[in-house]
Parts: sequence; structure tokens; C-alpha cells
Amino acid sequence: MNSVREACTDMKCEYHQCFNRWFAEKFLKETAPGPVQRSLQALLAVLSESSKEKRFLLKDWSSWVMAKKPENSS
Amino acid sequence: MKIWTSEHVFDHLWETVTTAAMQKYPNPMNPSVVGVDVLDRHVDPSGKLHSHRLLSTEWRLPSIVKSLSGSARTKTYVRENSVVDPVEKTMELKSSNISFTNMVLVDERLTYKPHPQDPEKTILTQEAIISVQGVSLSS
Repeated sequence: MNSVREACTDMKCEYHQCFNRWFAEKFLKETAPGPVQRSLQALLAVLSESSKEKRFLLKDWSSWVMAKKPENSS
Repeated sequence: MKIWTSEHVFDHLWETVTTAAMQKYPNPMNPSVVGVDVLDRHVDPSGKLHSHRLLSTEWRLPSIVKSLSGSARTKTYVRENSVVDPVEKTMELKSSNISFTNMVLVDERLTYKPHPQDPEKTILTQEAIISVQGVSLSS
């Protein structure tokens, strides 16, 4: 399948083969939250019980976590 | 505004249907989609996979348009956002056209889930909302 930029078509093909393999063989098989996710969920639950001011800070913290999370292969 | 909905049951597991849906194009059943590009893809802290894709579609127009515009083919673009949750087993896609938005808006939403009565099957729910600017489409 061509890319909108033809120069990228070969690289795209390589990426898609890699992604499709990871998606079917790894990603879809992770049906339980991993230790990092469980830890994050527990922490977020505690933080969300705090005051309204702290809930506002929680939103920034979630953005920070997303920025810091290591790149998953895809 | 016109709303169109449909449901379809696949006789396959949700994982199989989702994997296939990710590789939907090129698709001989819909040859107008000529390109797919992933613009962004990431897994969020809750483990859901978010993808943002750009689809290029090409349409052959009637010859009268060719004589007016000099070209019988026109490329249009659609943006598609999808979220796959491997724990809850849901895949949701939302797409909208980003070309000719001054004339027509087509928003589509697809949801793939295991069938509630038979988890070995997958149910697809589709909804499309079409608006033509300045024209009432109510029936």
C-alpha cells in the first residue's frame, strides 16, 4: 500500500510488517494490566480521592507519565 | 444530516478480526483507498493502543467532470483515530473526511467487540453521519 509520500513506501512496508507482528503476537496477548500499569492505577486512585486542587494537579501528572513512558516497540 | 447504522457479526474471535481490521487496506472490496499512513501511534499508561492514520482515497469521476476540470481522478483524504483495548477487548475507530469539508462531512464510527451471546464471534457496530452543507438530508 503506497504512502502519501512515495519515498516512504519501502520504509512503510517494513514498519507495517513489524507492527502487524507485534500487534498480533504481543499486544493483543497482554490481557492483564502489567506491574507498571497496576502501580499507576493504584496511585491515581489514591490521588483522585484528594481535594479538588489536587485533582487538578493529577491531570498534569498523567500528562507527565505519558511523556516519560518508554517507547513501546510498534 | 443523515445517520446510517448497521451491525455485522463475524464468525471469528475478536483478536482475529482486530488483527485483520488493522490490515484492512489494500482491499479489493474498496479499491478507492489508495494509501494509508500512520501519523502517530502510542500505547497509553492504561495499555490502550492509540493510532492516528491518514487514508488517501481516489475517485474516478464521470467524463463530464474531466472535461471541466481536466482530470477524471481526484484524491481525497480521511483521518482515522482508533483505540484498541486488549483487556476489555474493544476496538473503536472514528474517521472523518478532511477534504471537501466545505461541501460534505462524513463521520464514521466503528466498534468491534466480542459478541455478547457468543464470545467466539465478533460484533461490528457501524454508524455514519453524513452532512451536506446547505442541504437538508432528512427523509
